[in-house]
Amino acid sequence: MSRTEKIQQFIEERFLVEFGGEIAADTDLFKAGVIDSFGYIQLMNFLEDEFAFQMDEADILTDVFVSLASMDDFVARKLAEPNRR
Amino acid sequence: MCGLAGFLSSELQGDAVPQVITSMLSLIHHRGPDEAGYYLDDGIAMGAVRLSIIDIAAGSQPMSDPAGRYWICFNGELYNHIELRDELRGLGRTFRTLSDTEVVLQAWIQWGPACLTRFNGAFGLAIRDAATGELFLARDRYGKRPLFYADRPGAFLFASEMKAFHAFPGFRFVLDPRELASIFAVWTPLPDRTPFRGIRQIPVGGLLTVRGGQCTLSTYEELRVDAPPFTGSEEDAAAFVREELRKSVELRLRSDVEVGVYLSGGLDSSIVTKLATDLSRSQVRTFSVEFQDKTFDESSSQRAVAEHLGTVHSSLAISSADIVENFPSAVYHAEVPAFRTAFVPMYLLSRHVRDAGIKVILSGEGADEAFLGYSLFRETLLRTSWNDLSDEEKAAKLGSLYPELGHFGPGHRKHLTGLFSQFSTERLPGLFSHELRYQNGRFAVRLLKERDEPFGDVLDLVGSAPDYAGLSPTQKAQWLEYKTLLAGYLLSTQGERMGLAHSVENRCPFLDPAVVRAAASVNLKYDDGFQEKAILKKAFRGELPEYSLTRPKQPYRAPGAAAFKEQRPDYMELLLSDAELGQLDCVDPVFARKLVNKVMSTPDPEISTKEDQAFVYLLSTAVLHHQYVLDREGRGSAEPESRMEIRTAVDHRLSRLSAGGTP
Repeated sequence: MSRTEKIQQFIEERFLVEFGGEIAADTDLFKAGVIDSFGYIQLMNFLEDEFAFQMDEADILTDVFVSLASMDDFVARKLAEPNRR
Repeated sequence: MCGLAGFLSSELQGDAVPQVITSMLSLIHHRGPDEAGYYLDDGIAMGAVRLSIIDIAAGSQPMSDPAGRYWICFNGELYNHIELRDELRGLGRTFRTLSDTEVVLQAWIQWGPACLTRFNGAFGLAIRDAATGELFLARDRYGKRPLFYADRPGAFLFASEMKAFHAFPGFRFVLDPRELASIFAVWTPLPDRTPFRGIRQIPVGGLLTVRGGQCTLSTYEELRVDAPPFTGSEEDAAAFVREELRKSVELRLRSDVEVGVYLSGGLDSSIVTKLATDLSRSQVRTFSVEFQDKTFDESSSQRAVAEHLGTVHSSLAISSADIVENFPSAVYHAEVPAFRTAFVPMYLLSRHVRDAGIKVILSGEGADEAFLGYSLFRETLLRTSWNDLSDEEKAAKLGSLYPELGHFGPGHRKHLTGLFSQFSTERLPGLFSHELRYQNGRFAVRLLKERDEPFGDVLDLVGSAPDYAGLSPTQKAQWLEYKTLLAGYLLSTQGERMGLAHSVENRCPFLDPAVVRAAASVNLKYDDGFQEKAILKKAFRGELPEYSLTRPKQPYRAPGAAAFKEQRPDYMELLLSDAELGQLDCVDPVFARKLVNKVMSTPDPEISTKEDQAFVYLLSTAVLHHQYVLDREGRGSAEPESRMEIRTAVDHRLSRLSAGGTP
């Protein structure tokens, strides 16, 4: 399963949505009523655990975690960092 | 306390008129089992069921002035009726009874609608002016008592509870998808709305005039959450708050029957108990619920306060099975979808209180709104100042916000910081304070097929409210809480409707206008708002057990989706059967099925708050649909209550003889 598919599957199972219909990869998942505060924390924990990285202060203050596409891009960049543990 | 119902209709004639009004009253008989009465005139019928509390012998309703021009049905209590009676006597008005209803009537005759701002009480009222043919409907300023109406072709109906409309010929309940979306999004109906098409409620502080077939709605008093700042020391401020509360409790102990207290174990009800104990000649009786599930239980705090204050305490143990068994009946009385089950124990508690011989109770509602008790207010303060705070300050304040929520714990601080950064600027104009909460609402709205603009009506509400734009973010949060969660759930679904289901009237000392003003004058003047209700705690330090003053606030909650899953009552078929679910036209069957399946198959701790809320919304909506829209339980076909004693029956219809009615 690809990175994108893993994130997509987590969101679909946790938040009872299906990508492809009215929810697209670039849909703002807050505005669409998919994510709430509890779900956001779950999602962040999942990303860190699944892809084995730690977010830093700069990461969490950016505005990237609102859509599947932005999360996927973020994880891709994170995994490409040379000093990743 | 009572209930009222009535209609304007020129189509109903003859004996049908008293039959219909009697049937309407019998559907709200639980609100006033002591006696009933009605008044008929050409084109109008109105009546009341009465729970006798003040001037038990002479306070029958409907009541008129000696000339028979003005007729009143009054549901509620006027706490300052003695002072108003004296003032009205001084102006030359005479009285025939000691009842507060007559004071309301004479005040109306003396001052007209301007009398409403003089009332300190909890009420819904209907006044008919037989000379002009006008009908006036009004409701108290905080929404302590209900009043619904339906303006239909050929008839105008009104009642304390919507269920009375079942008895009107041809009336049908239909769920309104637009209102459901708004209710799911903001947790409660908006001030003038209901979940049913064509039924509205008189908004808090509202007056509806029906004249010549035209309805005109006005606001007799706007909600004020601001006040000139208190000038004086913190000690003076605490003493001032205490004195206003003492006066408020004293007024609310006015009754010809014994008054009990609901003691939750928290600060607010402990304060009410303390003052009631000081001001009562006999030992005060206190009542509370305790839960088998220790997650929700506060019985040790309740017992500690009761022991400290020397009350006669009685506690009702509630299990998940009790909640599940009584959910349909409690929803029937609530009449609106609910986002949590915590109202069901209050339904059972009122039965327990009634069986103990108590008709009137005091409770702590309104304290959190007035004195900034909710975490929501601290969250609003934090998000407002978010971008000015250091990382250390952010972390410290985040940690103190929602101690009861695991995901606000230290392990998640970093991620919460990201979340709060996203919610540190306003997205929905005027709704900044509630935007994070409304994320749960957005999830529940997905249960509906039509879900385009669930916040459109609440945006209009705040956009058109006079002076709203000039309030601080915290005051806006208070305003929204008063108008939505307080009036639309705490006072109604969890409060008045559950009490009156078993003929128990509630009174709220924290919702006295003077107390609300006092709170507004001292809030955030002596503290930064991050220690909840600091001034209240200061005002009662030394008078309550120390633990009551220092323990973190525990939100009152009850078992939710897990209880239904565990007990599997028959009515769960409304959700488990595709055929039943399909009957709910407005519900998106795909998402609803996913949600129900997930709840039924997920271990309890993994069911999130938003899923739990959405599940309870869906189940309560399905139950309402079953009871009200399909009328499958036959609750709407009310035979006139044989137990209902009609003590007043006045028929002034000129048409009654020619139409073949019984004179």
